[in-house]
Amino acid sequence: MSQKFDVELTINNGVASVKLAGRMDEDMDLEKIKAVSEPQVNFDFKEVESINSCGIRDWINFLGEIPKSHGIIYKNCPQVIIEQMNMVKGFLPSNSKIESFFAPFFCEACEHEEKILLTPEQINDKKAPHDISCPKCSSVGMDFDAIAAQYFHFLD
Amino acid sequence: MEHSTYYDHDYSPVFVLDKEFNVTYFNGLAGTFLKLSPRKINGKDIKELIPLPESLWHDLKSQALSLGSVGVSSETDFLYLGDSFSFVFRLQNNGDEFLLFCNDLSVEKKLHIKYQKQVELLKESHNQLLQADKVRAIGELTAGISHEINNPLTVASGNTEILGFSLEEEDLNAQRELITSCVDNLDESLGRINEIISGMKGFLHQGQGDKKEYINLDDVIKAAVKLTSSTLKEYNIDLKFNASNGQSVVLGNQTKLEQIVINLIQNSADGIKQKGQSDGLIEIFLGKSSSGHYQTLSVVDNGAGIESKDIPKIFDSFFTTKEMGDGTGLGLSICKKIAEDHQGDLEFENSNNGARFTLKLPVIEVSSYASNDEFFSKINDVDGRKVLVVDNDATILNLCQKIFESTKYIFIGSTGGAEALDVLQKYEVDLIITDLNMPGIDGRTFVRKLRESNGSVPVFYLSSENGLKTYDADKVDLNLSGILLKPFKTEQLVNLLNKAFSNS
Repeated sequence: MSQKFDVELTINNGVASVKLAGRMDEDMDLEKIKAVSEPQVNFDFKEVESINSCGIRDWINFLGEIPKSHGIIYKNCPQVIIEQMNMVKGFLPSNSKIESFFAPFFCEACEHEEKILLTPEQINDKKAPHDISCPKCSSVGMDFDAIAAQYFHFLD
Repeated sequence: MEHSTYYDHDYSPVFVLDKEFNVTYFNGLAGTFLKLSPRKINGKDIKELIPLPESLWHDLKSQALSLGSVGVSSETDFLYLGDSFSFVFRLQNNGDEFLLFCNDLSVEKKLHIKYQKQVELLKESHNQLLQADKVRAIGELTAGISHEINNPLTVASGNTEILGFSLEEEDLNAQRELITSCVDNLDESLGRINEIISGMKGFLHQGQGDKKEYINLDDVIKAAVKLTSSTLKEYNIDLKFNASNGQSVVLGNQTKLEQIVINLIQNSADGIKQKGQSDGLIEIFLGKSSSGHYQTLSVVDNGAGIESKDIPKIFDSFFTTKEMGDGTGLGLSICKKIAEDHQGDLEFENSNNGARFTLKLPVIEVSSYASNDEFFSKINDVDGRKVLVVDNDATILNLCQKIFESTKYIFIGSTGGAEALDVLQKYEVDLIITDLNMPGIDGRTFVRKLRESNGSVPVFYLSSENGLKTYDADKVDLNLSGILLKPFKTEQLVNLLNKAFSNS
């Protein structure tokens, strides 16, 4: 069972940094960040464990309340968030940008699985980078462990 | 077939399986649900991936045996990676492969359970509010009630003292008259105290549930007046009420309706006090709305009324015009809610001299029909026979309703001939049981009018033995089916209904 939703907000020099954690579902309370009026909002999804259809609906409604002139940055997006971005229109509004995201990799040498943090710049033509080193056995060239064309669809 | 073309953007997990149930393709949502990489899904046995009982897979497969046939599971709950899911599975036989569609109802189910819990909590809170309001009302009445108890207590105490002196006399026989008088006075005084305490206890503790039965509004008003009489006496307020003599029967909860009337009387008393009116007057009227659909109970006073700016807010929770500490602001909102729970309403208007609150409750012909609405949905046309019982006695209607609950028949109650004719204008019924002696249009006249308007529905008289002669005189003329003699047992009524319907 994953942990309850939590949100942490810090504001510094016109930038609101929002750390999200736990389950994004029908119990998700975004009141704390609804009043944010900073022109730049950075969302850190690193600790988000799951998201269901209610969480998606509430999140998209919340994004709709942020003025289009404001900038939105997504960082440390875990696989569950990337999968929703690929499926649901509106998860990535036009004024948003992805700074970093996690992608699943597998080491054939030692069979270790690892979620590696990537930036959009590392993805070319919807193909995963080939030079990822295994953090366990240090072999270079971990295999991407999902269907690349599907997984990197959000970068179109 | 290029499966990705069809299913990649489906917002539910889809798997393509070979004849041995091994996965040959899965869409994005399937991977998201399983939280596994493609290398751990492709080629694997679906039964190992989704932990379901073997019998479910077997049932699905046996339903989807032939080409094009589809097997559908019932809603299936299971645990996967520590989370609970609710899926409906659909297995489609495509000849050389199976398509497995997983309809994920987990969110809907969780929301439904949460919603049910919240509704229960709301109901509980509402009941607590109702109880709190009753305690508040009793609290406000306590001073007056204490005074009311003090009077008979003083009489009782004085008479006990006299009895004591009398018993000291040598010739007790000579004191007999005095002793008898003292005992009578004691009995009367203690009886009065008991009556007051019983009224309070009844108001506070009876009918905690939502149970509705046929009640006479005369009784509701009398009970409320009894509890508020000391307050009225204290402020020298006169209360006028002409009982309807059983003409105002409704389907309701006695305690909750008493709560409304007590609140309204107390509000009126407060309004009169606020105005400083020396000849305070509260009048209670019973009647019917112009449409005839509602029984009305109006409480009218010659107090201060309510300022027009406050009128839109008077039924809001926590709104009060009283001084801090004098009112919770919940009384009227609770009363309104109780009225709405009875499919009625509570309305306000300033009368010429003060305030007028009108409680509207559906006439029993409408409410008894509506209260069977749930029953209606459960039955088919054959079993759902509707029986109209016409009797001005609420206890008979309550008894019949209770008996009908254990049968497949639908009970519709009516308190008089005129009301029953009105019901028959709106609803079709399959059988009528009518009392003979009723105020207004009696049973005979009712059936005669019914037959004159070509109503051919079977009719039974409901009467004491005295009605047998009337029945004999009318049975051919009015095409009567029979008579049920009072008092009757459950079995008699049920047998009568079963026989009547088996003949038709």
